Amino acid sequence: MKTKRGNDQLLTDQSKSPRLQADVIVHKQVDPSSVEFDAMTHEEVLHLLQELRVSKIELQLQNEELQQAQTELDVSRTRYFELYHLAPVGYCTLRTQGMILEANFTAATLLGLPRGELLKLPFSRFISDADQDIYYLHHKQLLETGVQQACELRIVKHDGTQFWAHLESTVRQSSNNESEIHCVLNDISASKQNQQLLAWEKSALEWIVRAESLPEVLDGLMLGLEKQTPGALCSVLLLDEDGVHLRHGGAPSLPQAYNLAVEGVTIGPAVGSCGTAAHENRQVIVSDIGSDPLWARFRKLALENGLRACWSTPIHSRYGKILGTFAIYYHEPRQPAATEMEVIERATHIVSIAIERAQAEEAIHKFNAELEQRVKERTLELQAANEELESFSYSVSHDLRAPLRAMNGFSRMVLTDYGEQLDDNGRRMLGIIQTEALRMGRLIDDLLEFSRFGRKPIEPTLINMTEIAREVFEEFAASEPERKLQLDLKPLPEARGTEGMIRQVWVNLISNAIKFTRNRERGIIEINTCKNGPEETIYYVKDNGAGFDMRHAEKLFGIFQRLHTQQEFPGTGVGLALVQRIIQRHGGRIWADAVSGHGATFYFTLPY
Amino acid sequence: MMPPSPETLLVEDNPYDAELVIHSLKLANLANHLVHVSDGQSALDFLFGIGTYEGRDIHVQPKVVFLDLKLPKLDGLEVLKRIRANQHTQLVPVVILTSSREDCDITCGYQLGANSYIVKPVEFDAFTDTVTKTVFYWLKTNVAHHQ
Repeated sequence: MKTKRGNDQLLTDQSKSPRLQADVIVHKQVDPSSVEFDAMTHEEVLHLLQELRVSKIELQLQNEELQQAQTELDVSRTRYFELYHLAPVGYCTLRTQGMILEANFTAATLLGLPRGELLKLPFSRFISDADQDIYYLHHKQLLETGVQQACELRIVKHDGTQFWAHLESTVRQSSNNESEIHCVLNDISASKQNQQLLAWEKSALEWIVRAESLPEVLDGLMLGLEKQTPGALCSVLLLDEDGVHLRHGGAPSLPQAYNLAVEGVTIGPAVGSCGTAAHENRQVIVSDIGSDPLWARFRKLALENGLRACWSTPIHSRYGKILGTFAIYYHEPRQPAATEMEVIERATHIVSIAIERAQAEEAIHKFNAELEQRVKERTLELQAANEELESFSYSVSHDLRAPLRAMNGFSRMVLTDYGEQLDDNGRRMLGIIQTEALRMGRLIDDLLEFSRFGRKPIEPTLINMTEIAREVFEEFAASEPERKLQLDLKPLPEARGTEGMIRQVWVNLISNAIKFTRNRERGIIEINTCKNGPEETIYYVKDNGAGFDMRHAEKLFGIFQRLHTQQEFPGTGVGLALVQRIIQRHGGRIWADAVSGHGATFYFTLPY
Repeated sequence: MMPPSPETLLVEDNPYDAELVIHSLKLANLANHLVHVSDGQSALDFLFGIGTYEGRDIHVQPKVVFLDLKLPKLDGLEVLKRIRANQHTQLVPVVILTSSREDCDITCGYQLGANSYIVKPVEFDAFTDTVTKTVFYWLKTNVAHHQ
C-alpha cells in the first residue's frame, strides 16, 4: 500500500519538480527499490527518465547554490574573524561573576596570554592592585543598573608590565538566556602618557614661575619627570658661559658622588653622553654604558654608581644657543621607545624655558643692581651738589649782603654828614649808590628764596585754593588802598601740594597782576579754573594790565628775565622763575597768554 | 679804659657793620657802655674773664650780647653754646644779629638758647631803626636777671 501510494504520488504529481519528488522520497523514506518499474508502461519509464535527467540538472544547480553558500559562509567567517578577533580593541565576554568566557585575539594580546589560557580566569586578575576598587565599583554598578559602564584603569599583563586601559562593559542576555558581560578593552597608554605629560608640563611651568632659584626649579622638574617615567633618573647639566664646561643643573636622584665627579667636565667628542651631546650638538643615546666607547673615560664612575643607560639631549635656547644637556639615566641597559623619545623632546623644551627664564631673571637682577648702583651714585652726586648749593647760598646769605649794607649805610652817612659840601649831582650820585645797593640786596634775597624753594622738600597736603587766593589778594589790596582793584574769584577746586610753596605761587601771580594793572583806572583780576579733559584742572589768573608781547613769552619764566623796564614796572625777574620752579617740582605745568597792552593770563596745573 | 659796667657786648667781625651799629647807637645815645669784639674767642674771653680780659669781674655781665653768626676762629653758634654752658653767662640775653635768613641758622640759634634772632636790613634807615629799638628794649625795657 505504502509503496503503491508512494508510486502513485510519484506518478500522479507529474507537475511536481523531481527535487520535490526526491524530497518526498527522502522525507517519507520511500525506498527507491520498491518502485515497480516493471509495471510501468514504456511512456511512463521514458517520462521518469526524463524527469531524472531534469532532476540531475537541478541537483547540479543545487550543488552550485550550496557551494555558493559555503563560499559566502567562508567570507562571512573571515569577516567575523577580522571584525572580532583582529579588532583594534579587546573584546571579552565574562560571566556575571567575572570569569572570562570568551576573548578576541586583541584582548589576549593586551592581557598577554593565549586565548585558550584566558578562559575561566577571573578578569580582575589582570587589574592592577591600585585600581581594584575602581574595577569592583565598575562591575557592581554594571550589574545593579544594567547600564553600560566605563572606567580607566591600569591593566597588568601576564608578564607583569602595566598599561592604562579604557574599559567599557555592558550586560547582555546570551542565547541560552544567561546574563553575560561584554567588555571592550582599549589601550589608552599613549593618550594617558600625553595627558600626564601635559599635566607635568603645566605644573612644570607653574613651578618655573614659583620656584626661587634655577637649581630649585630644575630639581623640581626632574623629580616630576621621574614620577612620569618609572625607573628613570633625570639630570640637567648647564653649559658654562665659556661654552666648554658643564656645570651641575639639577639631578636630585643621581648619586651625589656622581654629580660631584662630573661637575665642571670639559665637553668633547667622547665625554660620556652629555659631554658628547653638548660638544656635537646632537642627541646621544647610549643604551649600555657598559660597552659604549663614548663612556670609556667615565665607565667605571658610572658603573660604580649603578648607571647603565644614559640618553642625553642638548638643550637649546630660542635662538639655537646650547644651554646645556638633559639626560635620562637607567640602572639597566635600555633603548628608548618612541613614547620615551617624545617625553625627552617635550621635557627638553620645558627645561630650556626654565633655563632661559632664569637667565633672563638673572640679567634683570644684574641690570637692576647696576641701576640701583647708578641711582646711588647719582644720589650721592646730587647730595654733594645740593650740599654745595646749600653752602653756596649760605655764604651768599652771610657774606654778600654786608658790603651792600656798608655801601648803603656809608653813602647815607656821607649824605647826612657831608651832604652840604656836595652839589645836587653829587648828592644824586650818592643816592644812586644807595638805591642800587638796595636793589642788589633784593636780588640776593629773591635769589636765595628761589634757591630755598628749590631745595625744600615737597610735602603735599590738600589745599583750599579759593581761600588762599582770596587771602593773598586781600593782603596786597590792603597794602595799596589807593588802588581801585576788583577781584573776580570763582570757587576753585582743592589742589594737592606743599602749602607754603603753593601760597608763594598765588603771591607771585596775584602781586604781578596787581603790579601790572597799576596804570589802569580799575585793575580787574579774574581767578578761575578751566578743564583740560576730565583729568586736568587748569587754574588761571587773568588781569587787564600791561600784558606783554608773546614773541618774548619763552623768556618769561627765566631767572632775572624781565619784559619791562625798572621804570615801567620794578622787579627782580625772579618771581615767575620761582613760580615755574614750584609748579614743576609739583609735577605741574605753567604757561601764559597775553596781548601787549591788553592784559595777561597765567595758567598752571597741579596733578591731583 | 674799660667801661666799669658794660651793658652791651657787640660780637661783630665786619668793621663796617660794627661801625654802622655803633653809629646808630651813638645817634640814639645808647653806645656809652658798649664793648665791641671781632671774633668768637674774644667774646668768650670777655664773658669768662680770661685771655686778654683776665681779671675782669665776671659777676658783672652785659645786659645783652649782640652776636654775629659767621665769625673768625669760633663761630657764633659755638659761642652761644659755650655761653649757655657756663654758669656765669647761661642767663645772659643773647640776640643773634646776622645777615643770614637761612632756616638752619634760625632753628639752631633758638635751639641753642638765643633770646632773639634779627636779620640785619641792608637799608640804612631800617638798619638804624632795628638796632636802636632792639638795644633800647634790652637795656631799658627788659628786666635783667641779677647774678
